[in-house]
Amino acid sequence: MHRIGIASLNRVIRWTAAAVLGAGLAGAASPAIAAAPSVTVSADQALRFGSFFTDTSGSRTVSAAGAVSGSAIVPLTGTAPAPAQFTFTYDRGNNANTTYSLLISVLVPGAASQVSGGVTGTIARFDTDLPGVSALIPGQTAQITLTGCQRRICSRTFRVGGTLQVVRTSGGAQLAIPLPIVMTVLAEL
Amino acid sequence: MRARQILAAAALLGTPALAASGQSATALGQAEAMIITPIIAVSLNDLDFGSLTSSRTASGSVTIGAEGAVNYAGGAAPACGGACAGVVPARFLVSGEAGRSYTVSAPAAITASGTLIGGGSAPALAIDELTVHLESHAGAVSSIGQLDDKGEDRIEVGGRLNVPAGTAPAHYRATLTIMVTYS
Repeated sequence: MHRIGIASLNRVIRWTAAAVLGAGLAGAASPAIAAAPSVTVSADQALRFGSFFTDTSGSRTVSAAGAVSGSAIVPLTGTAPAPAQFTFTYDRGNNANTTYSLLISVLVPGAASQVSGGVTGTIARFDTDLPGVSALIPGQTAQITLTGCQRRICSRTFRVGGTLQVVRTSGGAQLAIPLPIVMTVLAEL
Repeated sequence: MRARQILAAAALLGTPALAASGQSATALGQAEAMIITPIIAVSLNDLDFGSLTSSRTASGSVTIGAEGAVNYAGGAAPACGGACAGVVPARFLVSGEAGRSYTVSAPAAITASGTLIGGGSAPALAIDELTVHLESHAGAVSSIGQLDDKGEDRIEVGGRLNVPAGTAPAHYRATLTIMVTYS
């Protein structure tokens, strides 16, 4: 019984190895069918400043790490403040087993601002936990290097915080300020 | 033969990836905030004890309930004989964000300063047992209210004016301050 078990196992291993080798050779022999590199960025979670009121003007900061502070505002119960979360995914298009880095530009285009009734909300500055970038200024490109990519798919989840400046002349408002993030792979290193 | 095939495959797999510059993607996130309308309380009318008489020998009091009931005790009596018009609790209009709850705080007692009819200052009178009634919460609850769908609520404040025996004719006035905050 014991010998039969070993023989069966060997056969399975051999068949598996043959299948893997076959697939590897098929891919390697036809470099033209490797997919083109591609980049995707997904918005996983909104940047939430929560509920608060201010007399005429004030600000609330939610950092990329989740720390919350405010100036001239009164925080109120409601949605808990939290940084935005995005996921960057790079598909290099082939299964080469090498370690590589990515040089990436990050841009928050345009002004992050909204006027709603007597309330104006503006985010002049974002911060992020992306490596090497302390601030994201709308309209200005920042460059980062993602290191440690090893597989075909290199993915990184990062958070974005910011400071919302509010000027209020009357009433209240529910602000929903678009926060587009453009990420471009400048080079694979 | 098999070993050579494996080496060949490994060599091909180790080939550097294609250049990837210019690949770009955009994600549309969002920043959200709820800016709440500040809560304010505006006085609609004063806590008014009306005109009353005091006994030379007996102390008395007049009590106005937060819901409007008036009661004279001891040496205090209404100057108009029966029920005097205009003897009312203080009323405040609270406005803010619709549906929000809030807390109201009011002093337990205040002091009224007086001016004698003939001129000069009169001894101060104590107003105590200040009670708060919220239109949104009838009954025992007196410190937490809820703004209606128009973002409004009403607060009434009553109290007891203590009138010592022999109080001289005078006009009395006190300041009653309440504070409302979102809870």
